[in-house]
Amino acid sequence: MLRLLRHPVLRRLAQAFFVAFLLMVFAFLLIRLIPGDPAMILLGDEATEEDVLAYRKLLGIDGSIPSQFGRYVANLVRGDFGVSIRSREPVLSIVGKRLPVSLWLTVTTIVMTVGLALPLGVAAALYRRTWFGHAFQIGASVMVATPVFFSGLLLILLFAVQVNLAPIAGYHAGFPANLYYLWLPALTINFVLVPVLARILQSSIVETSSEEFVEAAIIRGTQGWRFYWRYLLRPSLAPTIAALGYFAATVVSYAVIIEIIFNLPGLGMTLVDAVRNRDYPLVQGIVFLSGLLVVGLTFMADLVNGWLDPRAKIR
Amino acid sequence: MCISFGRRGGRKLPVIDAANLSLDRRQAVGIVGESGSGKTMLCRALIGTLPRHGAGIVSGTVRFDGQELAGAPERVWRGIRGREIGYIPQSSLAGLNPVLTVETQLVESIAAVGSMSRQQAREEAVALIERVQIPRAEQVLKARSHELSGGMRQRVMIAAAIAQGPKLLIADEPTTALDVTIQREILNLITQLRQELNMALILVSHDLAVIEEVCDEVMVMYAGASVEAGPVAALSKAPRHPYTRALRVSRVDRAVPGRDLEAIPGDAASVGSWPAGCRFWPRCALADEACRRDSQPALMPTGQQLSACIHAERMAELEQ
Amino acid sequence: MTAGSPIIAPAGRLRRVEWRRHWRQLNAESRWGVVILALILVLSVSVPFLSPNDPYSFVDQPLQPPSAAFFFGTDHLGRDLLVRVFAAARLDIALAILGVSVPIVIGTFIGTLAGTTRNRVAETVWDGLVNALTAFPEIILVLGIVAMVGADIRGLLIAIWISRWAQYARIARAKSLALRDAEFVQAAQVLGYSQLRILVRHIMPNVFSEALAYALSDFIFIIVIIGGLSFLGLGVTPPTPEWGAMLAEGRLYLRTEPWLILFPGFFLSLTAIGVALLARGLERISKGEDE
Ligand SMILES: Nc1ncnc2c1ncn2[C@@H]1O[C@H](COP(=O)(O)OP(=O)(O)O)[C@@H](O)[C@H]1O
Ligand code: SF4
Ligand SMILES: [Mg+2]
Repeated sequence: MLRLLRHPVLRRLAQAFFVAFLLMVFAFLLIRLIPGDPAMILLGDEATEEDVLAYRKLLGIDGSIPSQFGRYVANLVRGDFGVSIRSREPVLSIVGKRLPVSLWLTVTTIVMTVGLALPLGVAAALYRRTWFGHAFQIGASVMVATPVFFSGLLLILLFAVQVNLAPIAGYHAGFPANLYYLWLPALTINFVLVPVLARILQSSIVETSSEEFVEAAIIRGTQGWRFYWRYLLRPSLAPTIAALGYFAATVVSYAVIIEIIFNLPGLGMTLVDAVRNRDYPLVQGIVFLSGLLVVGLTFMADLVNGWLDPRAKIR
Repeated sequence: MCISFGRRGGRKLPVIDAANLSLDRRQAVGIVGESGSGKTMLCRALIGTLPRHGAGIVSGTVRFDGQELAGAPERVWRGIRGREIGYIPQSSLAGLNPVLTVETQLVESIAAVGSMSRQQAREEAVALIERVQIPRAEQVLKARSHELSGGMRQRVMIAAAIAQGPKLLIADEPTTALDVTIQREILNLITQLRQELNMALILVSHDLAVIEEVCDEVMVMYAGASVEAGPVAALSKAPRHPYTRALRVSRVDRAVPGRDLEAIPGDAASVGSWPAGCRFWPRCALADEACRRDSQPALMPTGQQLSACIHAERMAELEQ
Repeated sequence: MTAGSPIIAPAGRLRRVEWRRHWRQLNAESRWGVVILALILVLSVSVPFLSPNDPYSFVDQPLQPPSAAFFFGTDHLGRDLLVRVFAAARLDIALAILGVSVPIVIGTFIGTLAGTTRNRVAETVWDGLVNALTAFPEIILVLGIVAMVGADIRGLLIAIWISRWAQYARIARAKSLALRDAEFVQAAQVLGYSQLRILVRHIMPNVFSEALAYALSDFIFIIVIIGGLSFLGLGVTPPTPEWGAMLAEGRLYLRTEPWLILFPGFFLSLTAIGVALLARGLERISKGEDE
């Protein structure tokens, strides 16, 4: 068993599972942050003893803490994330209904990120001493520092109000029609993400270009796309992909605000509603699942990275 | 030749301003000097990659087979590099792209020669790998840089450099990062290939012993200038420049235990703060008033060689 | 200074000289950052002070465009937007400073403690803990905590404190791992100082400077979180002037009165840009990239 852990992929996987377990612990502890008795808070002072007990059971806060935790873990393993206090619907089924919108948003965002950051980063590296390079630096600084809920409103003002290229808000399911509703939200997230990644790619390319093997390739006579792809871009991609994994959490984070701005009925909107309604089990479930999602995305970025750059694998 | 780095605000910083080197077909010439003396810069001038490093040739010539290359356009250089001049870069342990297999990179070198099918190129690659005496060629071809030992990587670099059958091979410190036994193997390999392929060779090293073993002629560089040049035998037996002598004395295999094996006293003059007069005077035992005046002395014939020391004749007396 | 000037300068003058010396050490980027931040600070102090208008009360007809009387116009309740924007600046900057300062102290202390123990198991568990805590998408974790603690300023600050300390702990641990074998630490050990004293007096100050550098970029993030949650109606709530909350209010008038979002949004972004410039400039100075 321990020998198996020497395999890098399996070791990463084991780490990911350990982190997932801790995520579970944190999610469990979350509900303990509530000052006072959650059941009383939800029911008010006039609640009967029975109601309070029933609510405690619903929230999974009856009995000793270890037994609560045991039940919590057992339930999670069975796929039981509890029941929404508001609608009495299982948390998992609510998530299942709302998740597709969020996933579509995430995927659209990341496709757009790659499509924009790649050419931009390459151009910024190749032309870094020209006006374009300087404009890129300044523009990137400004864009990174603009909060999404402001840039989102600005983009709506520009694309939905001034020129009619996108709806102001709303959503209709079904590919590819949903892209009409998703492209502006995705662009808003990328308003922050693309400059960050393009910058990482740029400095990575600049670093690569002073490597000895680039000189060797030039002397060998390698030219054209082959040179750019094999000797500049591919060796530089690893840090960018790693960063993309690292920013997965940021994307999921910003998606919450974006869903509110653009009125997209995804998980983020569900979460915000749940927070407003003090729907503790629903909040708990979404927080845990979003953490899990990020751990999964980071793990995947690691794998892609190992495939792209064998240097990363040996670590 | 004078090579400068372009600086912002138009200031130029010379790194090499008095280097001379020439060699005939099939000849082997060594360049020796402490690190930072400009050896690598000179090599880059010879294969036209200075602009990539923000530098350029300010004055002087680079002539190959009668063709003037200094300031030649990239198009001309492409015909020269690899085809006419093979190059093994310094720290060539980093000379292989870590994300590509050896095969991909070797095939690139070969395919540059002319139209060739994939299969042919592959066979050629195997032949090349065998030529640089790597056993288990198939396996090595599939490997990536980090899966190979230092000696192996160096052999692969050599294979890539000779792939197009160049007339001149430039090897910038090919053995520096290797341990002693591997060093010897690599030097032997280079010598052997040079004879088989009728190549001229420029071998760069900071170790005079390495040069003595492989080369016929040697040029000593200090602070961007040639300070002594001539037949290897003459320079090692009767150096006419105090710096050459110091290099020789600091050689490991000639050292008298407990005495000689010491670094040359003082720090190498660094770019941008070269002293007036002879650049070596702050570290030179023979330095006097005359050495501190004017600028770096030019190479002058003395004995069987050329020396840039104004007291070269006194050196000759002292040696006896 | 000339040779004849006194060695000990009067305190006020010394301070001025110090300032000038620091200023001269800055590069263009960080100078711009300082100028921008100084401008915003001066405005946020002086505008509410100089203006006769109160950020909470009706002053004139609602939804007026910018004019000589009201530089930024009036909002949907007829309040002076200029005064509100800079009253918000005070609150946001103060909250962000409060939000940064607690995690930096807690995180640095815990991280240094973790960095100076030498226990394999503890290290593994520690890595997992910090990785797990930082795996949660930041805003979602903050939302989760706010849901439990309460959707107000207090809840927001507690949520920020709980969710941000791990970043500092991570930095502090890495730095103190490097420091624990440093010469001056060993010297202190030889002198027989107590473990706690070495930790607090010798290691923490060094770790702290590293954490401060990170704090600048964290400041940007926290000011965005404060604005973001208030934008969602879960942090600072109207009528209190706060940039995010003002954007949420103004959003309803996006089509017709866009200045309601343009002014608060602009100054929020400008603050973040100022801090970002300062952070980048300082980073490049410490890396020695600029002369
Ligand atoms: N990119 C560069 N910018 C400025 N100076 C450089 C650069 N590369 C090398 N130099 C300077 O040029 C001098 C010669 O370097 P080099 O030719 O690499 O020396 P060597 O190969 O003999 O060790 C060195 O002193 C180095 O400081
Ligand atoms: S010229 Fe003078 S200083 Fe230079 S090497 Fe000769 S003796 Fe020494
Ligand atoms: Mg060199």
